[in-house]
Amino acid sequence: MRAAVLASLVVVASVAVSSSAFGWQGTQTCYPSGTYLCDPGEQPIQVRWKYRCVGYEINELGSSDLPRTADGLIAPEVIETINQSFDTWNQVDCSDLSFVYIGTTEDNTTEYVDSRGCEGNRNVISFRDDAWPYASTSAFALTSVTFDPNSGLITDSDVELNTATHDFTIGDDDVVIDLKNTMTHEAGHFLGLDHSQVRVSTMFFSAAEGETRKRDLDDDDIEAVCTIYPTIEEDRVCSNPPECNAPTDEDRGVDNGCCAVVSSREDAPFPLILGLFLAIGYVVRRRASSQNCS
Amino acid sequence: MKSRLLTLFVIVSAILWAGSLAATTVKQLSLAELTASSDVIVVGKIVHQRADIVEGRVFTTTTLEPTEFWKGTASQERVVMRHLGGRTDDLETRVAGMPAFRVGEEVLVFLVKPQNYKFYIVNGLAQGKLSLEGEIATPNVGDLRLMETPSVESTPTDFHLKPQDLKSLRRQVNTALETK
Repeated sequence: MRAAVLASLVVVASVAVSSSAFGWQGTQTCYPSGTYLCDPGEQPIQVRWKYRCVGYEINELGSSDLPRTADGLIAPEVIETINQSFDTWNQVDCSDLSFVYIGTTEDNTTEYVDSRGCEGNRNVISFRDDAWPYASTSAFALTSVTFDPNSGLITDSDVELNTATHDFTIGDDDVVIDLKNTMTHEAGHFLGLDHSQVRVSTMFFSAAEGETRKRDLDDDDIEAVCTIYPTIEEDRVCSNPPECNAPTDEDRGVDNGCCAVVSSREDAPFPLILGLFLAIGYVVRRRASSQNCS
Repeated sequence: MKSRLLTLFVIVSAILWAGSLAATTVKQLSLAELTASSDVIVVGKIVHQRADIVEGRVFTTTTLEPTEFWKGTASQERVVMRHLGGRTDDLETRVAGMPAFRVGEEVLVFLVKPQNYKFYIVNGLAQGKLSLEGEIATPNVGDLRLMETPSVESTPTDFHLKPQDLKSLRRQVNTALETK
């Protein structure tokens, strides 16, 4: 009996571990405790893009700290560095998520305007040379992910780089804050990941000056993107610009959105754990009472 | 048996949920550094909170009714803070590490007021907010990764991790102000 209960508990614990309790974490619509508390009866949902082709644009001015063209616009090598960061995620075989570089834009804002639908909303990468208005100047960059709280579908994702405080560099020489290192990490937030607790992963919490380790994904990062966006279409080809990714009214009314999306929390939801333990308790009591009768 | 199962249930659940914390990286600020770099340090109660869509993202505006200023004063009776991130019925913006409040919560906050910004913001993200229960102040940095320098990860101090006596904190803040 004891062995059976123990075995059941091991299974439950395994579910918890496989849901990455110690590694990568997907951004959730809410949490059972802490800052983003779920409402009563609300279940956390993985925050994610509706379609697998996700466009982004880069502000045409770039940063005065990084190479610019003679016209004062962002230099091609800076654009290429940012694109390489997104491509790092595109190259994961077990996921068909595809980031699509649309082009440069005059737009330097981070806004999402619902009434614009897909016409006026952009996912923009911007450099903040003049001011960093987010209290902590120590942050290298900030990705704000805006989504529909009912479905978890992302409506807008923007990256702002803190060039007001930090010196970004590209290439392998005299690295200070490596743009590719930073952008590969931010692209992870862009797709719906929180920080990982795996120290060698791209999505690990911290980065030091001169670090380039996050340019390449760790197995933990790959597991994350493949869990949230597993391959459902081999050799996916995206149009440019990609199909509109904004959630429709129908999406907003459906809790779990699209298919084949599994969140780490949904892998082993609290009610499931509770149910398992209640079931174990029930079996234990039944067996104990039957032994007493015999 | 029942109590054992309950214990194991609690442990497994704790393990499961412990991984859900989001985080961001921010320079660790000691109590003295927080004191020096804050414009206002105030104890008070959160009396109102509102989430608005500002320039396409959700910002949360939080109103605090002060009971005691430890540093500086506010130009109005109430202190109004605004932070990026929050939730409306139809839209939510998430930025890891931003402090969050709830109405009715009593807090000690270290605030700065950036130029050309009409609201206060919490200094050092979640480091600058402590929740109060009576005379006990509890830090909220569980989802922050604290770094002392860009290349050396620091060990968070008691100030960042453990509940502390409010009077003791007040004395430390006063000392920091006097030695400034």
